[in-house]
Amino acid sequence: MLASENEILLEVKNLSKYFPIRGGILNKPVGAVHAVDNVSFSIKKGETLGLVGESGCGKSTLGKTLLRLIEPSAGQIIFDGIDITQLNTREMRSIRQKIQLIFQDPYASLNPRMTVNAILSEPLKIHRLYTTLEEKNKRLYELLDYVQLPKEALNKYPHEFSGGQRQRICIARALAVKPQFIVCDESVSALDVSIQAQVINLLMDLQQELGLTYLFIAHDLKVVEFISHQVAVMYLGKIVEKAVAEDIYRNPKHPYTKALLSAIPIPDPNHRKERIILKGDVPSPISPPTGCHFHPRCWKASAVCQEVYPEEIYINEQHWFRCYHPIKDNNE
Amino acid sequence: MFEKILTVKNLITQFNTEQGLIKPVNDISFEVYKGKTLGIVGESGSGKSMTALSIMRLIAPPIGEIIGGNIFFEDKDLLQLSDKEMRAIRGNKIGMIFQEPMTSLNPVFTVGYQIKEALTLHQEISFKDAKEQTIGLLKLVGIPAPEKRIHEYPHQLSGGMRQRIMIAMALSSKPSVLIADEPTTALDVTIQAQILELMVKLQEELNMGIILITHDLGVVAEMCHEVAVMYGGRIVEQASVQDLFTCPKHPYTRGLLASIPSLEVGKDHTQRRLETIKGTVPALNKLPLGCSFQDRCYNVQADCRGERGTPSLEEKSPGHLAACFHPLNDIASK
Repeated sequence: MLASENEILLEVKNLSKYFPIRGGILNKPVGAVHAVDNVSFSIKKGETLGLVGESGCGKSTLGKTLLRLIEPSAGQIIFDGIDITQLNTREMRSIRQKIQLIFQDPYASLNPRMTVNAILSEPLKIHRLYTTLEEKNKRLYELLDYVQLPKEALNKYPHEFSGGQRQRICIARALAVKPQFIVCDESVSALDVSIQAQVINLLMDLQQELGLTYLFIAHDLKVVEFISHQVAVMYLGKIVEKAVAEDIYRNPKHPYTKALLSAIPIPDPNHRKERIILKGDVPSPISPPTGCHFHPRCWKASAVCQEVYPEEIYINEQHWFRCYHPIKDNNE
Repeated sequence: MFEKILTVKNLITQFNTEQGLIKPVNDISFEVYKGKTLGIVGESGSGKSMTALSIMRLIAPPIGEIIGGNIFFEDKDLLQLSDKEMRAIRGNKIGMIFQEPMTSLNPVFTVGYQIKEALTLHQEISFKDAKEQTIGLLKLVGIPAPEKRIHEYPHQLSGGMRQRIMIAMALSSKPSVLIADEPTTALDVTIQAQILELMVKLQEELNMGIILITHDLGVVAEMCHEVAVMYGGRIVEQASVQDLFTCPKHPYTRGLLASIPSLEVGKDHTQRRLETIKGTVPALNKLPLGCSFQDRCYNVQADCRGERGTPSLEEKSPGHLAACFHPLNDIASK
């Protein structure tokens, strides 16, 4: 491995994003959606951080805030030693070359009127990454080669491809500018299982080949556990537990993590396990419950949970959670 | 033995598209038993939903047409019934839940009104009784404070709640068969667990036969007794849930099972690879001659490519059917 094995590529400190809600005749802010609430984490070079949570927990907002596609309300995003929240638009553009995003829906994120050639050339043009036509074509072939698409694909339009192939085009487009860091926002969720497996393998191969760092956002814990080195579980704008991927699975501490894991249907009819069925839905992020946001659905909640949000408790350097009544043993 | 309630025999549905004639449902046969769940799995475009719509006779002519087969329900062939007779069965004796609860509910009526509509359509009951029954149904599907909820509109409810409303509506006339087309796909896992638990509970109470259409093999393993795997409009493998998961016979089923990331991998991260099925699902108008799976199969042989025709669904071991010339034996499939 490289000498930079433990080097931190991205560090997020106390990041928050509030969306104001306006109302009344004067259209004044009357409240705020706490989409991302005081989140801190870091990702090492060449690693994958998986981010899981149910819909509406703020995982996509967090992903977009890292690229400043959504301006953060507070906090710092330190990428490769630079606090990118302080950069102006022009400086930001050069950083965007290093951070790319792959979206969920490959149908919606490719312009139907552009050929693959045009789609892949655009980022090269914007960042002035070639001087001659040969140079450009060489790069385009290289990109198609990375994502295992034939050369003929260049002259085709997105509608001529299947869902999996379109997602490959999106990946090639993200790779065009030689990024260091890619945010994958539900990038495999819309694909069929057999195609999903192909794309997951591709993402993992590319990571090793090009030394990429991923933030992998998904709601499917199986996929996240498989692809990630570290996993963070998010609930209503806050990270409630973070650990090495295997620890999350073997030794979940937060009751929410445990419930989430137990809710996954296992494709094995002989596998019978105690299922924890949570009551109710995720509460509204406009007025989250007091204290620990999870307490109305938690079977371990006590009086203290309703009052103060729990602090981070570290089990070891990699594994921490925010809960007053952690799971003691996974068979509990 | 369990009582047979719905029998589908050699069903063929044909669509006349601009690209030519396609058969999204091609010679499908299966049986549904009281109190049992039949799972239909497959990737998008494999014909699962079209099978469900065909059973309900919701295929719109002239583009789509059921051109062959029988659907026996209560000693009657549904395909021979008049539209009026079919209306008395559809949504009454055979209920259906769709994937997207937001688009299946009418946004301009309260949920209470919509359930009452379903009730009054099939039963002669007074307005007051209908209201009481509606509240009872909402209680049955676990909606808190049903007296208040009946006055709410679909947009005021969460996704899980809406799906519960859909289930309540489908159950309003106590159907003997429930067709659930991807009922939990649009929901979060914790909500999915709630809905699946609810379906199991209601099945026990009402002794319904359920056809569960899904692409999630995890859901199948937990919910179903019998499973049919569809590919290219045909059933390629059918077996009890035990047999299908422990010794799949069709290479496609085996590939599907292997491509799910398992939670229990202990391998070093850099060595992790998922097994994949190469290529993509072929379009229905471009199915190859012979076995439709030939181009993606790792075990393809010369006779799969045409001269022997399309493999038919045959019993390879007791109760275990597969449509393959070279089925996997039990050892190879492990």
